[in-house]
Amino acid sequence: MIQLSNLTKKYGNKTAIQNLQLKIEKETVFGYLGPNGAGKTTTIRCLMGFIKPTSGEAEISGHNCWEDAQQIHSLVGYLPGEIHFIEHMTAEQYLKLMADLNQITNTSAITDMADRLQLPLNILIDKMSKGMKQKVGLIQSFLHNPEILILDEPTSGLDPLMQQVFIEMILEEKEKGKTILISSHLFNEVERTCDVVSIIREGEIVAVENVSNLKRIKQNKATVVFKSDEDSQKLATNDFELKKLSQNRYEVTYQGDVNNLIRALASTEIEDLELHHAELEDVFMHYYNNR
Amino acid sequence: MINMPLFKTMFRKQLPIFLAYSLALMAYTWLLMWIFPTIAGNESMEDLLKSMPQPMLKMFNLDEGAFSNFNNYMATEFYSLIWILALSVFVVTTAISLIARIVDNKSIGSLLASPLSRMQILATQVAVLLSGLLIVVTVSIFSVFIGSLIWDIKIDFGRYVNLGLLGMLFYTAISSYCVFFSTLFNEAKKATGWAGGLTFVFYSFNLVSNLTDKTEWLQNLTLFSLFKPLDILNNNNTAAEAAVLAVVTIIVMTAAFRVFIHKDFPV
Repeated sequence: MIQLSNLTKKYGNKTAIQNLQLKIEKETVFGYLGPNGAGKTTTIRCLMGFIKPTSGEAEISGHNCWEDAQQIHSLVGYLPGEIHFIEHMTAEQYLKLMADLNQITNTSAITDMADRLQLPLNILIDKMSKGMKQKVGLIQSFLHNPEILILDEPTSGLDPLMQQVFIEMILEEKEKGKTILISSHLFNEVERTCDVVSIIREGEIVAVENVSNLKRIKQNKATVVFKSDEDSQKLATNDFELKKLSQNRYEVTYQGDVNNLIRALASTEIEDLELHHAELEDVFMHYYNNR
Repeated sequence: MINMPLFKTMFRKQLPIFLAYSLALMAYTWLLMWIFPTIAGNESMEDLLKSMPQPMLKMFNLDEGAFSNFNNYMATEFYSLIWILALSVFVVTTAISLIARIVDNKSIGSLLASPLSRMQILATQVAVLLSGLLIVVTVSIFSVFIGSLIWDIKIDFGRYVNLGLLGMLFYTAISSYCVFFSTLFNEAKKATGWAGGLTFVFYSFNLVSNLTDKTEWLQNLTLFSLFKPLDILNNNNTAAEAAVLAVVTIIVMTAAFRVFIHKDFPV
């Protein structure tokens, strides 16, 4: 569905991405992960045909992304990392224009999605908060019911409640058999929606893995404050690794399912429990150290 | 080639500016027409002309009769001066705001991601620019016609229509390099600097080339020497100038489209 072959983009003598090889199958939700400046957005710009690759090529559904950009745009819904709208337009005027450009006559999808995201449409986009703008961008990218969605840092700027709504929307699209590429610098953002993730670092893809594998093996951390120090001994088994932080306060490292930890803690008296989300780098570092 | 929904949106956004220029030029035209009888009947104006240094008269095309003959009066006092400057500013700023500005503020991203081709996007923006130009030129030319009825001044309106037509062609040529610079640079400031700067240089060359025989060659380096309102209103043939302007427009516009279609957009 989406394929990168030796994709390279240089700006002057600075290499933004180098020899990217990637194949995203149909109906896959693909997480494209990497720190800021790693080359995620450059890759997406190549896929959207905004920039011409220095060498190699990007393809979507057999179309070359640079040469056939126009066909690609009918197939793809795109949400940019930083959205910039045409000035002095209300969300409604703007989205109607986008519907017209996509030759969509039935605009009920706009009001449906706006209701769902609780977005008032009659406000000038210039006056909107970042989160509201993000919602306008989301509606825009879903508008023409595209086969493929390319979403660059989609939940940035959304509050947790809206992130939840967004995740539901992605999962629905996934059910419909869409192919989705989500870029992010946070593992948590893609963990719940993606089937496969890849990591890009300094312009090169360093890993492509199934999320289920990663989840199974990923090391999680929690901070536990026990009522008494003796209780901590109950966790001193092979499943957990304990590090004393201060009196009664321990950092517990466990693998995979959180239920194992909860069950073990059930036999102890605790004062506080704090679960930490594993950093992307940690997950991968651990994964590779264990292979 | 042109996308109508986009055209309507962009046209509506620019319309207040089109109207402002149209009305301002109309008001100025009528002001000049209103005071013309006072000036035409006043001998001291002609004396004033005689007292001015020759190079200065040449520079602004002020020949004898500049204040007694209506066509000469309009050509020197309006079309060679305010009209040319106002429309230059109009063309530069409108071209920048329709093309360079949307690249600079990255709002072009949503158009690029739509199923429109780059060709369609640029053609539509250029069409908005040229239709705005057509409105301003048409209103300002027709205001002479209306003014001639109000103040009962005899004019050969056909010559003013010719002036409008050549003016349209002249400003389309100016537009073409404004569009070109707008496609070349991703920053509106840079595009404005180049488009405005080149227009200023062209205008200055034209002024200086009128000064002496030694500087006459400069008129080969400026588009402004191809638009001489005085000649048109005196019914001289301007077909050669029109042809050159058309060729310049075609070449520069083609270059602008090529740049726009092949460039990288950092959006």
